[in-house]
Amino acid sequence: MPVGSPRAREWTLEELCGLHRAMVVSRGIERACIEKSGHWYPSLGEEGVIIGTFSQLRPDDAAVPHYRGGLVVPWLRGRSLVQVLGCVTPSQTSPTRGRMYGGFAGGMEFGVMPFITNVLGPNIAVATGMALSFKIRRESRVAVVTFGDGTAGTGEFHESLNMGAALGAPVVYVCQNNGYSISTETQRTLAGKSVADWASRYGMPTALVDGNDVLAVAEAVGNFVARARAGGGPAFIEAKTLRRGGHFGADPGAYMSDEHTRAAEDSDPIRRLEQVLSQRGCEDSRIKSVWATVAGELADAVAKADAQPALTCHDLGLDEIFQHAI
Amino acid sequence: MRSEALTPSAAGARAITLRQAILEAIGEAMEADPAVVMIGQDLGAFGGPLKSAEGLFTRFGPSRIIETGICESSMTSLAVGMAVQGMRPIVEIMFSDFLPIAATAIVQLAANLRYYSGNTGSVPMVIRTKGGDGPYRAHPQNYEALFAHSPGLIIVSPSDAVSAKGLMKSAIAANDPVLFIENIFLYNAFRESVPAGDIVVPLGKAATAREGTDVTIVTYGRTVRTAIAAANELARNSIDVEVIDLRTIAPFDEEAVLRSVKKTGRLVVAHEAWEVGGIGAEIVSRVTRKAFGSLVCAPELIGAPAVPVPFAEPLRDVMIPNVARITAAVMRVLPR
Repeated sequence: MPVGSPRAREWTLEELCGLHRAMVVSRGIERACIEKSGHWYPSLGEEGVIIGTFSQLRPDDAAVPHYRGGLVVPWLRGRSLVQVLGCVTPSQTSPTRGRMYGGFAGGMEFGVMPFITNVLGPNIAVATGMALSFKIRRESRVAVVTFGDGTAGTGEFHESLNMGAALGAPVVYVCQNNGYSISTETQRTLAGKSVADWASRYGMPTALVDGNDVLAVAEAVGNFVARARAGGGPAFIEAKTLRRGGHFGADPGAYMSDEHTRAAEDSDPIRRLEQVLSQRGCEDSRIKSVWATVAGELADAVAKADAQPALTCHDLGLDEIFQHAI
Repeated sequence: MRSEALTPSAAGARAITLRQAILEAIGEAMEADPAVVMIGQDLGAFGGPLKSAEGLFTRFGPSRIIETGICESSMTSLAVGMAVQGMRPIVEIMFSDFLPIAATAIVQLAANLRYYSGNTGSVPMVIRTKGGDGPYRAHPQNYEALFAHSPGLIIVSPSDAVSAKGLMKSAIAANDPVLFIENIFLYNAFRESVPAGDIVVPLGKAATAREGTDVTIVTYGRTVRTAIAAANELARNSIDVEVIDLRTIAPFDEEAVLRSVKKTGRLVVAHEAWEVGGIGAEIVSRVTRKAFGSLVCAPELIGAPAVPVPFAEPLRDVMIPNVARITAAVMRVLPR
């Protein structure tokens, strides 16, 4: 959807600024993580899907983010940037105390499911189960899960959508389709027209949206979340975005097409929202100050996280496998 | 101790099968706590495979007895999602042959979550399955050792009706995932006196199924009963065998095993599952490392040889520890 197109809902300037700041924070976190490790799986350029999706939840809804870009989600719910960075520089005070790979850590105290398995697929079923418990207890909560186009090839994707639809679970499935499953272009291994087309066959409403248009994502997610909350059952969104660079920080992505790379640069979701902000009368200086402020906050958080007390052999937690000694 | 629980005067005690005892525990837990639900296939009109859910659908309806398509792996992950959100799901994996399909959900998700989340989440969930050789001659594989290797998972396998009920109650009440293996051979093989209402059989605690002074047999599940039969035969020759029923296979009650071995000085471990890399190998290793000085001779290990469980009866019967194999093992650890 081009900039300035009619929107499905009214957005206040305050709401737009909130989404903008969150996307800038997401990008800042990712850049800081890439600096720390070339093995980081960056979500640069995919902020439209991540922020567009998880900004539309109530605090008591269940968030089950994809591993790529999930680190910002607990921040949306109140985790400090020091704690966010503490996931990747584990210390005695950091979340999970260094037990979980930083980018997969989630934040259960914020209702954000970690990527516990390190295996793609099961979290789609986990979100479905969370939603099912809300339905059984007659709570008005929903679960929202994001996953990549590669994950859509798993049995768990198909089994979970089938169960979610058959059981009427209040869950919204969002495919963060960034065009590549590591080095494999999505269309090369995906039979059929699209992931959304697959999902539609499970009898749930589906939407195919421009994932680099954060407002389009937020509007689609907002609609389906409201529908699920009202008892309408599951829904599916395929948000098409573009991975900026390789699978991990140090991967030059030599296998990626020039066309993809150019398109990724040209359709930057943050720049696109900034155009909307300008049209709404937001001055350039104000937009620039958001970048500067966030950069300062992140530099401070990185320094504080790095300065936390290091983990020792005493933190291995041999007696924290079970609740009670067995 | 089992002998106390079996006192005939126990209030409301009736003679029921191991299967009925487990069902009774599930029914009572579901009555007491609306968070307890069951998930699986064919739990409704069919009553569950081998009637493992008999009567539950009629009592609790489709929102508590949840039927899904055949998708053991996703169904188990779905149950983890429910458990994380405060439910107490009981996942019905029809037969132990299907456990490896759900291994990611059991090992990498349910068992890992408490530790990996830095203790901010837990998975109060029971994974029920039916395993081992039985009169039905299908789905006989014993995969408990595959799962015993995983930190964070509790594995239980009862040998009698009273502990079956008590262990299922404890498994449902536990705030950690429990793999509950129901031996197919024992399912409807006997009726035992089981008290109505709550029976507490703690997880992680073995029982002394038979007291003795000469040799310790450590075992679980169906083989407990075979070991007792062997012990009764040996008693005629004045050989006094102690039988330890692990009840919880992993983590096993090391204290009870060591205590018995320190008394008898002689150890035989017996189980239906494969010997290689099995539960018995772990027990022998632990005892030799921690009570080597108490052993008067090398321990014996009786299990299945390293072949998949075959179909034909004459082949299958030689794999399973029977009275003759256990008796012979006991004789090997005694002075000639």
